[in-house]
Amino acid sequence: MTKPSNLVQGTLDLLILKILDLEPRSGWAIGQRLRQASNEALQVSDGSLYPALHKLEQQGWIAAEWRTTENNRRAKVYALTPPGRRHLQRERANWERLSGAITHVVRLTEA
Amino acid sequence: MPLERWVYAWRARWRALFDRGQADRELDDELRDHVARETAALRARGASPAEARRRALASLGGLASAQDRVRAVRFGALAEQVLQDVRHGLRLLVRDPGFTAATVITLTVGIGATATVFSVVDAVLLQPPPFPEPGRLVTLWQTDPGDGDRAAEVAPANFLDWRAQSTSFEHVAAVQPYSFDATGAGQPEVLYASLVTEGFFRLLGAGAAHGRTFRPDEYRSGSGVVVLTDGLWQRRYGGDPAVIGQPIVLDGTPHTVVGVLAPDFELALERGQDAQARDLYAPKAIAEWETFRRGDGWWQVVARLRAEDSIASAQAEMDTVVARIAADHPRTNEGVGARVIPLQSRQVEDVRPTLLLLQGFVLLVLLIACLNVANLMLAQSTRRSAEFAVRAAVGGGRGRLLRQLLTESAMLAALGGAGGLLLAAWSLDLIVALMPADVPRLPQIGVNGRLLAFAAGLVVVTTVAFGSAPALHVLRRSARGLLREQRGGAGGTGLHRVLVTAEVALALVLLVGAGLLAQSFARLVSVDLGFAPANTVALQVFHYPEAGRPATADFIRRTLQGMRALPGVTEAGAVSSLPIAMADVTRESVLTLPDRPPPPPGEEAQTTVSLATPGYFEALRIPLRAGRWFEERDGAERPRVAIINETLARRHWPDADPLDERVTVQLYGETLTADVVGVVGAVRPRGFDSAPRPEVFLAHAQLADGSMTYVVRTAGDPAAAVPAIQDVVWTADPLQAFYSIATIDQLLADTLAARRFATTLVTLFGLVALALATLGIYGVIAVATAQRTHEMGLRMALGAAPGDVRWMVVRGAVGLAGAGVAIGLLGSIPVSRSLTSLLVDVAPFDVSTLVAVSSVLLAAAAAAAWLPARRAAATDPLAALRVE
Repeated sequence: MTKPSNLVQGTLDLLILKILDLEPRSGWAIGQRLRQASNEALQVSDGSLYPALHKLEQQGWIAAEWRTTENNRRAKVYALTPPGRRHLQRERANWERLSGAITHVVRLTEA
Repeated sequence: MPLERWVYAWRARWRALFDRGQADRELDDELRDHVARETAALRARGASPAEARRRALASLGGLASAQDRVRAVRFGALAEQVLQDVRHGLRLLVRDPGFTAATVITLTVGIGATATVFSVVDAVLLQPPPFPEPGRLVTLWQTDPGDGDRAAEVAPANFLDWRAQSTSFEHVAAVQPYSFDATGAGQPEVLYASLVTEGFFRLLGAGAAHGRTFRPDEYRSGSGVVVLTDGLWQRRYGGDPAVIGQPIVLDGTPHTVVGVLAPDFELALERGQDAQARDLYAPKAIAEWETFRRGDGWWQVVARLRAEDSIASAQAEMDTVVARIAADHPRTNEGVGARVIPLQSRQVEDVRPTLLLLQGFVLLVLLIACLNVANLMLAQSTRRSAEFAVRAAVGGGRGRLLRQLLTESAMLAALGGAGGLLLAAWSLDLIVALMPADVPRLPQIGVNGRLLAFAAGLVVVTTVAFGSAPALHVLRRSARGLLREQRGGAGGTGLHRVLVTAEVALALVLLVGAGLLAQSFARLVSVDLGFAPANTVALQVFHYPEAGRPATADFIRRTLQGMRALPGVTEAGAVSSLPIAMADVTRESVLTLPDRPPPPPGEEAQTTVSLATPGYFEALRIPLRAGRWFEERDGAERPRVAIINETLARRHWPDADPLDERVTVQLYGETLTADVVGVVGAVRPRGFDSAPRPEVFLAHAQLADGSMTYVVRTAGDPAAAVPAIQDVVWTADPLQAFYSIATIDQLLADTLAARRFATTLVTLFGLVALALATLGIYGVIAVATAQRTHEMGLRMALGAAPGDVRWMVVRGAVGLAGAGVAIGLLGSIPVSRSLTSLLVDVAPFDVSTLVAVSSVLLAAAAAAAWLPARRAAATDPLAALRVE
């Protein structure tokens, strides 16, 4: 099972941005969605989720807002900002290039 | 970071840095919400409440620990690097105090000078008049082709027609300058007033700060109400609000103070020597005779444009109005026009060219300062190549390095900016004292928010300007590989040379400007005035023989006798118009010679006519060329006598003796013929840059007039004699007020105030530029010479004498400056041309100035190179070679 510490540096950011690209969510919901989307393969520790969220917020890629939930609790909900959306597109292109290259290398057989 | 991201990020950053309590509370809420949801989710899958909560907390790695990790990200990422840069920068600044001091002082001078000039320009040129919607306030002036179509004061009847016939203005009002003799409490005093017609305060939108302005029914003669300016209120009444309703005796008539104006109320409509700050305002009742009076005017007209009208449309309307008036009154108004000038530009039109000139020159100083600092930073970054290389090698990114450099620049600039602000605050008082007193809004000059914003802007601009030099250096070197390039520094020399050459070129331009202005000033003050101003006091006293006061002739006789009897007074006399005087009461007249055939019409000779008492010419030391002075025997019962000046004598009797000839002039509407008994030297009538004109003096005793200027020559300090002289006048008439009392040296200095101001500042800027450029040359030569130690050693080992090495270094410096001088000479051409209007007897391309300034710069370069040259010549060849 992949531990969060094994996530390539910067990958968690990419994952968060992608999840938020679908719809605004709270920190907890992001973690849930991440697990669900990766078929439980990616177990991001909630302990590393929040530092990453706060860093992205300070960088201006995501913005947070306090909302009242259905059971009347206050929840902090994160959403992608326009610059964040462009950043996601760039990072996604980078990731695809990188992962493609890595896949290519690991499948190499001696010719 | 691009602006758009800032828009989203600033709140989070602000909280992280400055509002950590709020940030912590929100984080706590957020994490508790997470735990609650996770617990609920786990329980839904069947876990017991305690178990669910334990696992939920565990998934966060513990609440406190999760908080700490978020906090570390939040604060660390941001503040830490900046703090690190600042700490590192501070360490460097302290480690290299020489560099820090040189940089900060250079910036202090550059920013301080620029901020000082800015605050003057801002207060005088940029700030609108202190009235609501100032853009709609205009002034109206009368023009006459016979008077060169200059914007002149308006005749009363023209004003009345303009007001009645124009529709472009909401209100139009006239202002008549006036002076009152104030008596009663304390010493008699002349107060400068503006008599204003109805609507004046309403059109300006200005009310009284205390009390009120005038009611409509008070604009009639004898209403006897006045409004004081803040200046007079403070000076005469110590700012006491109880003055409202108090009486004040003006010209012997009691008036009532009904209001006090705000401190910034200022109209400043007069020009040059006529400019005079107002003490009070009084309502102007229009007299019957004024409704007919056209021709030359003496009223100033202000108006407020209607919102839908512009200067152009108002001017177009006024053109049709004056054409209609000219058709109705062809005899007086043929060709007479009207000019609409915005209030603000009218107020500052005299001073604008000088201030813009100074603004331009001070920006050159700032530019030189920036170049100098760039040079210093570049030299320093050359020395720090090793540090940069190591930082690059251990993985400090290029961006991080650039940010470090920019942080250092910003710190230096901030220190320089703070120093500059202090310098500006301190020098503003000096500059205001140096400025001509008639510049409007002088009291508003000071340290204010706009000055602070401007200084902050300068800090940013200079940071970028000089911080980019070392940054460029780093970029270039990192492209080539920092570690490989560690030694040497020859790479920087090219840029160094460019910077210093530019500095020298700019300094030359400034110095040429300073040289031209200083030379003009020197030529001006060395001009022979035709009289000796030193050790004289001039009093302008207008005596009116009112009830209870002595007769004018009696007053003048007793005053002059009293003055002559004072200890230390050598001569005293009086004249109706002094060569340089506060109020110009010069009378012009047509001159005819009764013993000659009259000239054809249109070619009549003009002359100035003055009245003089015995002792006047002697007191001013105006030389007698022929004949005699006025004497006590030239009384009313004797034949009329005249003294003419040599300008008039030469014009009309080029070959003959004018003595015993007769002259006829017009004075007070009378035709007066007098025998010429003396010829005196010509004087410059309006100060240094005026030309002598023909003058006729008549004996005062034969035509008594109360408006006279007394000239008192003292053996010692003339200023010390002023109180005793005043007492003599008050002994003769205790109710007499002085229009002005000052030493003639002071009056002369006042005529030069604007010129002295510009010359002093430009000279100061030139000297600062020279000092900075010299410092720059020194820096470059010192670094270059140090880098060539090896070469020097080799040369000396091969037989070069120390003198050769010294010469080589000095030659290098002079060559460097020479290139700058050559470029600067080209650059000075447009600058000198822009000075032409300020130059006297000096051509804009004055070869001697150009040669002198170039020589000074080259000599400064040689001097700057001297220390490095000596150091180079003292190199021990063996030690130098071993360095490799």
